[in-house]
Amino acid sequence: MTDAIVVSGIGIVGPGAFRRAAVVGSFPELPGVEEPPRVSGFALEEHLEGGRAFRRVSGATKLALAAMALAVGDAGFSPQTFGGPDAGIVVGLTHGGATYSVRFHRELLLEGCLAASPLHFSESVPNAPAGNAAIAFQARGPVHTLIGEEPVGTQAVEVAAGLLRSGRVTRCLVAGTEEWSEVVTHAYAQIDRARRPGPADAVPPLSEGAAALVLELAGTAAGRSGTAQAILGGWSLGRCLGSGLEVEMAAAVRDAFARTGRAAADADHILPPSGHFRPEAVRACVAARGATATPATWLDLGRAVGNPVGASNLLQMATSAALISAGKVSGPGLVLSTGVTGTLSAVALCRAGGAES
Amino acid sequence: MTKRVAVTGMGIVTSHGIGKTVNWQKTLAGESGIRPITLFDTAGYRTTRAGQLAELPLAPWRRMRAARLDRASHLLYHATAEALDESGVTAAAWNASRSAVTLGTTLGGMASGERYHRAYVRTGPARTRPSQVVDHLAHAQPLHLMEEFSLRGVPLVFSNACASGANAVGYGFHLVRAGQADLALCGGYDPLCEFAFAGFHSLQALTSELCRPFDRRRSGLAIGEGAGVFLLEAWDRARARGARILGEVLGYGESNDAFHMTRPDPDGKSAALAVRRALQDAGAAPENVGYVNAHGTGTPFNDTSETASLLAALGPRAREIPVSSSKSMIGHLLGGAGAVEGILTVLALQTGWLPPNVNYETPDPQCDLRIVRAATRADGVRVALSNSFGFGGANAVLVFRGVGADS
Repeated sequence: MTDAIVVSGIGIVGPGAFRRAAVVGSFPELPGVEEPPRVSGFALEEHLEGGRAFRRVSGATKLALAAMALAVGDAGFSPQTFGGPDAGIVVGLTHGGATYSVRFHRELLLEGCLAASPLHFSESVPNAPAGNAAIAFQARGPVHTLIGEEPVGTQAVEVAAGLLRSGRVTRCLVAGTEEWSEVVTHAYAQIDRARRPGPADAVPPLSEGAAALVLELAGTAAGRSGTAQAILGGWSLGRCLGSGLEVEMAAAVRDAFARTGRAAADADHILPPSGHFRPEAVRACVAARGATATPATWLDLGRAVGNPVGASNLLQMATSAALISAGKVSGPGLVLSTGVTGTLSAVALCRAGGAES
Repeated sequence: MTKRVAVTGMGIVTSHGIGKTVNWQKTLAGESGIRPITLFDTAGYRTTRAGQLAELPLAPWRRMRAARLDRASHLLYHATAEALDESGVTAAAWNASRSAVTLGTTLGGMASGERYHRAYVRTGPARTRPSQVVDHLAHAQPLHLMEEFSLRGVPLVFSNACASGANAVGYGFHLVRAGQADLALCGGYDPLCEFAFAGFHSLQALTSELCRPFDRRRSGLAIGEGAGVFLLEAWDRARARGARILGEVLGYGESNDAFHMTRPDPDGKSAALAVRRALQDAGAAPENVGYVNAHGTGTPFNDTSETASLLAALGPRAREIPVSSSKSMIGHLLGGAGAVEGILTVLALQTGWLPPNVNYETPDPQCDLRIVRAATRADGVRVALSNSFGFGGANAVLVFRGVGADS
């Protein structure tokens, strides 16, 4: 199928998991989360040619640019060859450059409006990571930022797939990014969505990170001798209001597999929600797979990289794609995501060259 | 097979007021909605005026505690209620159809975030209240809205700075045209808040005088607030149910400058690409364009760049096409701008009147366009463009057609 959406490049930047090799190398375990759950300092120019021009950007932008540079290189492009009027970018996030937002507002509150830095303002707007990425990779096609709960990564994939299938772009960087913020962590703790000091519980610590995928149509990737590392076989988004999450998630899982020619029961690895964890999602998945399902490896990315909220879903997809590409798993893989207000998604990733491709 | 896309509902809130009637009246009268700001203390700022809605009544939320919701949610509620009411689409019809909600905003409920953070800084983290951040994040308002109106689905929330609203409308248009949705509720919104005001102030983008898009003496923009919501529907379906069709979305084009985070490319070449793509998408030629509702912020950089883009995309004929910027009256609505200005463009096609670009007195040779100084009869105008550009190099252009024109 030449209109299949393939992953031709993968970039992972998470706490303890810089580059895809970190994830692949530790399989079947996942890299352990570090405390504090932050990405160790790095120089952007080591990963992105000309990266020094972006030295004053927010943490969310820096993480996104690093993940994108890794993905672009992995796909066989350079920052110079990726761009053009037919190159697109879609970034999904929840908070984005929260640290610069806080810094700008603090300057405003404590020093007055004349002391508030224009850089802290312009780099705090949600589309700063995407806008800077457009400059870094010279993407002059559609460049979008989507805001949402954890499943926003699946929304980003859906928008990118639409751009690819309609011919408005021939290649698209899809990324999720989030930086750690003291204020955001405090607010999440107040609503029981961040781990508080004390014994570890089921809620992963708020963290930071980014993941990026280069997506292309199978025919386009093949035409330029790019490698289809995995196929985004199908995805589905939903929302339950009230107590119906199990039903909605089961439907999403079935829907995600409907276009792959495979069944959810065939999934050999499953990534449960790593951000806002809902046990109903796991129950729904088990139910949708049935009693005779292939035994699957469950990979709880939340325990590995914490919860980078808006980046969590893309990190899950990038992990699954990297494992499939490395042959650590055969696929298909199933990625589940849930948000606090009942938004949810399921994504099926498959091996390139299989029946579903 | 692609489908024609009808506009069957529109809702609008700006500093001119709530609803299309008052907005269109004041727009055609060239009335200014820029007034002294009362939402926050403006001491120390070089300007103290903005397009603030004088009175914003709390919307009659039934499922949410209205007082807890951000101003953004109330703006969005009013615009959505008007659009749904006009379209006659009920929640039951919505939920029985393939439907999509696509909305755009720059900062969502930032005023709530400001309140939370102010308490965090001044009284300490322990004294903050989580209820203050319930409606802070930009996806919260659409989620609340859908719950309130019992609309199923997951909203898609674009945050492409000042192009967000146009992107959301364009995306919804493409979904309906491609047959992936029968109905799309799409638009944009942004409330006035000190964070955004201070941000544009820090960038020295705010004028302390009148906002004069395309005028040689233009000195910056005025911030505004508001919301615009379209109900888009597959044309044949709208006709079959006897809906009143207000206009047609014909095309949508987008691009990115890939040039600078806050400054437009002076050549306007990527914005021109968005115009060309929109026309191609619409199956229209430059000579079909009878009116341009410009992005027209009133900043020196934007207006020359936009002029260059129109000349590059439409050729010398661009100088003959009537152009106006609604921002001269209601200010820059950021994420709401594209949708609100799109609605004003449809109203222009619907009524046959072109809205004025007020405060335009001194022509600028670098902006040698045919600026509409006062409301003008627009006989013969069938197709119009609405431009939106934003931080991060975002360019979005919508093409509308009036009803009755080849319909």
